[in-house]
Amino acid sequence: MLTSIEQRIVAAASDAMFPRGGAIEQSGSDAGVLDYFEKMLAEMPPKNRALVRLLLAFIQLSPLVFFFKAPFTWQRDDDRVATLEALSVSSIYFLRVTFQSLRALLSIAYLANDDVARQVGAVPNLSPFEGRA
Amino acid sequence: MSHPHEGVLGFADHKGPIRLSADVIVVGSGPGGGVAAMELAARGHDVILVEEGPAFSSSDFDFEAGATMRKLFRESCTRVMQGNGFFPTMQAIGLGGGSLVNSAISIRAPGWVLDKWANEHDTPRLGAGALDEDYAAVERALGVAPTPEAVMGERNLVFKRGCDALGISCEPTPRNVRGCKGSAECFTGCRNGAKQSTDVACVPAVISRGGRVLTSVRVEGVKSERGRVTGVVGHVVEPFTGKRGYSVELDAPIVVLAAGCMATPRLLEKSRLGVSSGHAGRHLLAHPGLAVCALFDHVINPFEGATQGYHSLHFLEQGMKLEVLWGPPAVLSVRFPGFGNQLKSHLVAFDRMAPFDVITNAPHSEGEVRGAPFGDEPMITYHLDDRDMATLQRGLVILCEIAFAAGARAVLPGVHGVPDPIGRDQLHLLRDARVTAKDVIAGANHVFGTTRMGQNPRTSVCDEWGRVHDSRGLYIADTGTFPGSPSVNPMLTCMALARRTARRISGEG
Ligand SMILES: Cc1cc2nc3c(=O)[nH]c(=O)nc-3n(C[C@H](O)[C@H](O)[C@H](O)COP(=O)(O)OP(=O)(O)OC[C@H]3O[C@@H](n4cnc5c(N)ncnc54)[C@H](O)[C@@H]3O)c2cc1C
Ligand code: SF4
Repeated sequence: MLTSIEQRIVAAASDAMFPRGGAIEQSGSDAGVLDYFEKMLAEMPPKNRALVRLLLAFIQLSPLVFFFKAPFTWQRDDDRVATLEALSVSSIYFLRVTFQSLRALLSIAYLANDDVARQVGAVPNLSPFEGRA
Repeated sequence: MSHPHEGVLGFADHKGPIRLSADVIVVGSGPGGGVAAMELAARGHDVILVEEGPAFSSSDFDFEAGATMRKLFRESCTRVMQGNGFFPTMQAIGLGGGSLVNSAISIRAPGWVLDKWANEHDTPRLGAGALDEDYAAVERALGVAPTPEAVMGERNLVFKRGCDALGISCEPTPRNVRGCKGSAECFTGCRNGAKQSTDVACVPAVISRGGRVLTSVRVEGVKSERGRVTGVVGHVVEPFTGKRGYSVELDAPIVVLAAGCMATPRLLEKSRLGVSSGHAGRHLLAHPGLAVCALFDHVINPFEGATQGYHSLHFLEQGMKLEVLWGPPAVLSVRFPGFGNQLKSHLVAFDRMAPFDVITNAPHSEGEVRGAPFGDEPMITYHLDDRDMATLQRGLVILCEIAFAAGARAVLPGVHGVPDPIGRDQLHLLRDARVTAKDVIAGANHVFGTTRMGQNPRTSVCDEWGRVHDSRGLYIADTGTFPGSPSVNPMLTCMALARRTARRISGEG
């Protein structure tokens, strides 16, 4: 479903958003974010799919347009993190919304991984109070 | 006990074009449509209830947030209202509508709200007390009761302790559940079968009275002859893809539209009915909301406990309702700051977190629903007025105070330009900040007003019983009819009004 350039954008963004190590060991790639993203896109209505694609294109080109830097996937890891940082705190509302939309989609995909979900504490328990006094 | 959806016709049952007739057709099976169909069937009408989405059983619900958002919500849960900001809004698609995914909060609009509607919004017959009988009836039918202590869990109790310490009144939330086990999964659908969503509480009652319930059928227009409704037309639609299948034509002298306040005005527009006042689709009202996450030193385990078990009506007359909040981490974490290791450290701290939210009745804010240039989904605009934003900001400060009074060590306020997290001694930074709609993510799942009631056909779409002014046999029974904000969660009021509409159709009241 994703083109090869879109796959590279998702993979690069997911590892910048969720790098390996820290409080949760898995990176975005380790957690299967790209595969999940593919599935998510396939299940979306066409209009929303088009909007997600637009979002990815925007992430790729925003460094060029707004920060006079190389497109997102051409950047080194550190620069990608700096790009996300710049988007997240930008004084331009639209850039912050772009960051938040990307982060929301990637977080859904990251937290869909059972192991990640378990580390966050999200373990289903249909009857948590059963047997308690 | 038989399955609550026994007798419901789904996509696989539709094996050819559908042509049926009935006394009444109800379009949409959410709180409004579900109750309207049940009450009409109970009064002896031959009812067909039509729902665009499929039926979901407890076993179809998925703990994983993303899967739920794509299956149970319109536009894969990415719907936003656009204006002086982007305001996410969620509408469900499935038998039960919003009652499938909501937190089951079932609360009456206070008398002073209904009086305000009566005095300021041209609904004089709907003043305080006018809905008492209907409220009581739906409360009985849906098992509405305060959330019991046994399934509260620390997330809810910590809110109560904070309120008590500050002298802010709060109460266990009344909810439409039977045997809630406090699994905190209301948003992704109740796998315990405890939530009394309309597919569970109303649909079996419709079928047992001989009514028919068709799912995976999208109504695309209301038929009429010389201003008199004659039925509806539409198509069978494949679940999740929305692909059109067989044609559907249903004949009836009475049609009740309960497709929700985003969809009903579009149906009116397409059918050229109910549009003569020029108000259909306008006056979209909402309860924009914001949330904070309180961080505690002790374990909260927010993953357990009734989804929204405590709330405070203390500031209702000042335009604010305060609630305990819960939802899947993937949804709640949109309010967390940053990314990378900072985000991960917040994610693993979930077990010591309690999210609280504030909603405002937003009397100064308004929007509109219109047809989009392409596709079936509506274009929704909304402008969050600075005065209502200020109310939300004040609410955030109060939520932080409640959190600190309950012993929180810090709070994530989720406001651009305000440090995240803040400690008790930094609360002034939130209080004094100049916060605009662009500095927050204000979501609004309570939406209404797009087909408002009123006595005057020039300024409203339907009368106080939901009867559309400019056509005969056409009624509306969703939150679109609200002439103003109910100030509290809208479901119960929507249901009470729907019952009132059903009584009217049956010649009562
Ligand atoms: C996550 C969430 C939590 C909430 N929590 C609460 C809460 O705890 N308490 C509360 O009071 N409120 C809550 N709300 C709000 C409440 O659920 C809604 O106000 C309520 O569902 C509105 O009811 P309705 O009947 O107007 O419309 P809906 O519930 O939207 O129902 C409309 C139905 O019509 C169907 N439909 C639409 N178009 C067509 C068509 N063309 N043909 C056939 N069918 C169609 C839809 O698929 C849908 O099932 C919540 C909402 C959300 C999203
Ligand atoms: S808290 Fe759990 S058991 Fe209770 S109604 Fe919600 S999903 Fe069902």
